[in-house]
Amino acid sequence: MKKYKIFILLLTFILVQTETQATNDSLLAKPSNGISTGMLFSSNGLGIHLSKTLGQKGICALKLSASYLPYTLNNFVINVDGSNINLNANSSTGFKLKLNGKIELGSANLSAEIHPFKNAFKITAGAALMVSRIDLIATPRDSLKQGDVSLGPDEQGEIFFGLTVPNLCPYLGIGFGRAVPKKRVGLNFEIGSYYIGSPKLAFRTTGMLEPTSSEEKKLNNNLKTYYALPVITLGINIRLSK
Amino acid sequence: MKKINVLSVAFLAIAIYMVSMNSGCKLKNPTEGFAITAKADFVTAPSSFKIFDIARNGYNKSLEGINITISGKDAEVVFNSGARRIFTINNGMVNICLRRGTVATLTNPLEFNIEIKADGYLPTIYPVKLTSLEPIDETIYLTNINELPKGADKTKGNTITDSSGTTTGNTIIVLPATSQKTEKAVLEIPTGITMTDKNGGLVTGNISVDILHFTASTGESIKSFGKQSDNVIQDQNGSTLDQSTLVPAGWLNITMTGDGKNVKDFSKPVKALIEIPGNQFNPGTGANYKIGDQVDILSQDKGTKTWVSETQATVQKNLATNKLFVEFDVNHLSTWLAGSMKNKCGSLTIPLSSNFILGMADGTPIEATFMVQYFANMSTTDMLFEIPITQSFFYNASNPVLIVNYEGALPVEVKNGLLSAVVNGSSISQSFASGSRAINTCEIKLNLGTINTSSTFTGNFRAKCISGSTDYATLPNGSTVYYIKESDYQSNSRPANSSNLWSNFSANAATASVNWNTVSLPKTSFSTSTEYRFSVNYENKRYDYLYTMPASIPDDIIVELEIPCN
Repeated sequence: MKKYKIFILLLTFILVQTETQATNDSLLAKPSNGISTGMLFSSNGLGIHLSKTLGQKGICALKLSASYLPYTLNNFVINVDGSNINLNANSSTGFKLKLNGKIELGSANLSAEIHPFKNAFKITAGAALMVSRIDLIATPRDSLKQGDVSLGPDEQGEIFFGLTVPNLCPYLGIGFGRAVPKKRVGLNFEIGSYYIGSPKLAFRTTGMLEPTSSEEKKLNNNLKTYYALPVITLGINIRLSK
Repeated sequence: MKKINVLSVAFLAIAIYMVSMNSGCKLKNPTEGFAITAKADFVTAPSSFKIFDIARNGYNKSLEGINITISGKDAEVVFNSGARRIFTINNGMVNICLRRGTVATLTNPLEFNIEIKADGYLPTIYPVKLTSLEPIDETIYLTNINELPKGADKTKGNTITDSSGTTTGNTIIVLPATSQKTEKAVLEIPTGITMTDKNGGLVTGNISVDILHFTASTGESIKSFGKQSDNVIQDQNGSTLDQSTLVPAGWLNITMTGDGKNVKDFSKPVKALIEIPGNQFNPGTGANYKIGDQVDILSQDKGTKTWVSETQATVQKNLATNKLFVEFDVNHLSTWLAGSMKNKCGSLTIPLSSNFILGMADGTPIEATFMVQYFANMSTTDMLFEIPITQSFFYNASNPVLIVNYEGALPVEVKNGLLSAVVNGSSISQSFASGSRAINTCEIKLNLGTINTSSTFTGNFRAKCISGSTDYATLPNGSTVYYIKESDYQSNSRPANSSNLWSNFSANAATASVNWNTVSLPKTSFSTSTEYRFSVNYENKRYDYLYTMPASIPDDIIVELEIPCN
């Protein structure tokens, strides 16, 4: 986490310096009006945007963007520490699960960017149609044995774990860089967060793992703290208008 | 400008701090405290088998703790309740479970054998066939050699063989008819027969002969035979025959030992004679045995489940005693049986006195319960045992026949038959009569009746007590029952007073036994899949009941009004 913070601050510093230099060169002389498009590299996926300045002063812009990043988990093994495999003849702590499924990150955003200080610093507010969701099936990795009976992973049951966020979420962020750059190409950086309330958990267990369904409440309680989904975005903007 | 940039950086730093707080410090790990708990049910579908000493008519505690062997094609999925492959008789029971995930269906049943070898008892192989994972509770009958059941007897004799293993004289061993066993059996060992053991070695010297004779004249003796169905019957070439049901008329269990060896084969056959009970039913002819009938002769090696069809013998009559008997050759030692082998399984159809379709829609769950009684004979009242059967079905209007499977083979009767279902929240039931005694059946067909094409249907109106009492009130004779489409009722402001919108009929008085008021109504007066409101005035108060007419108007509907009961 510490390295992550240092990286963010360093990146911010570089961007601020870049933008400050650009501002010194041309910002005040020429308002950044027009339309731009570009690519987004964000923690919410890869995407594109289409932006248009509002008004003549170039301090406000409307941005339509979309990003998406699917990720497939294939036999990803996790260890669930402290698990109580409640067997008469064989109890142990720790239980290895194989995760299979899909994690999808993405959204379609409509946002407004305001440059309150008339420089590259911006505040972004908007709303997003969220497509982010997690759908995973966890199955035991190892066989279990009781007495003379050994049950393979496929015979023990499954845990279905699904996580969804509301379809429509507000977004607030700040950053540097203009949606419509003054030059042909510009960079911007933004950090913000979607307000997702509490993610909705779908949790279902089958077979021998059915008693684990009592853990749903615990998971829900843990997830209640995730009311916001932070996003860091790095964008490359290409000005379309002259 | 620099001042502004510093402010911007400060904003950004605060934002980063807030985001990092959200994602790192105050957040819980989503899986914090999460633990997997697994059930310990590695085995499932527990079933129990009572161990029953036939002669003692109960459990013999000397059998406690004896180890049991599970064998057969599906033995590997059978465990004890502790998921071990160790099986013992415990409190008079053998309890078994199946490995979790095991499937048993009618088309793919599980089959295994419970083998019990206990000192003083005949070795018993009890075949088990599971067509579902429902627990079963069956009884395994053991034959105590020292306390033989009624209808069985034993004797001991001897014969002499010389150094070449050949009998030196003619030996006749008789098990006479007694009050306990009304049929005789005879074994004749002629001179000049060479006896060998299973390895072909000569058996010489004084040969001890032990014979157990079982007749089919008593239930206890028949219990010694075990299950009559699901036998494996082969011809002498080892090919499995279609027949799998054996109905014995009598059988002999013969052992001969000498010089520390068990006799297995003879150079020439010895002769056996078994008398047949006078009232013994011959499934082959459908009548009692008589002179000239052919009887199947089969043998079974000890400790195996396979019967070998050896030959046929003709029923003869001893004119002096007026007893029927069969004679047959015994060319090796095992259990020898005279009886009838039959294909399984026929079908026993139970007629119902009336249609069982009261207000019933397709898919309605129906439960059938009854007892299948097994008899020793077609013509006696000697009921051996009975098995309760409960089976659930869904009503199928296009084929309203319930088929109940059970273990067949012995003559069986159906008793205490009851069909029950819940229709429109009301329980209905109908008993059905016992079927005539039938042999060699393993399914019962119950024809529920079909919906006819009558232009009218019978409305069955019952007045249920509001209090929840299970008593039902009888509406006064001629009570007027009103009905209206619920949609019409809801779309009119005061339909209760708009008499032209309501139809009505006068319900006849109920019979005291069922408390139903019935009325015949034309089907054309009602629309299918439509909700109706039925209403009755009872002691100056109105009581309504909503009933949805099914997609196809049945011949009977049930409307259960709720009224106060005094």
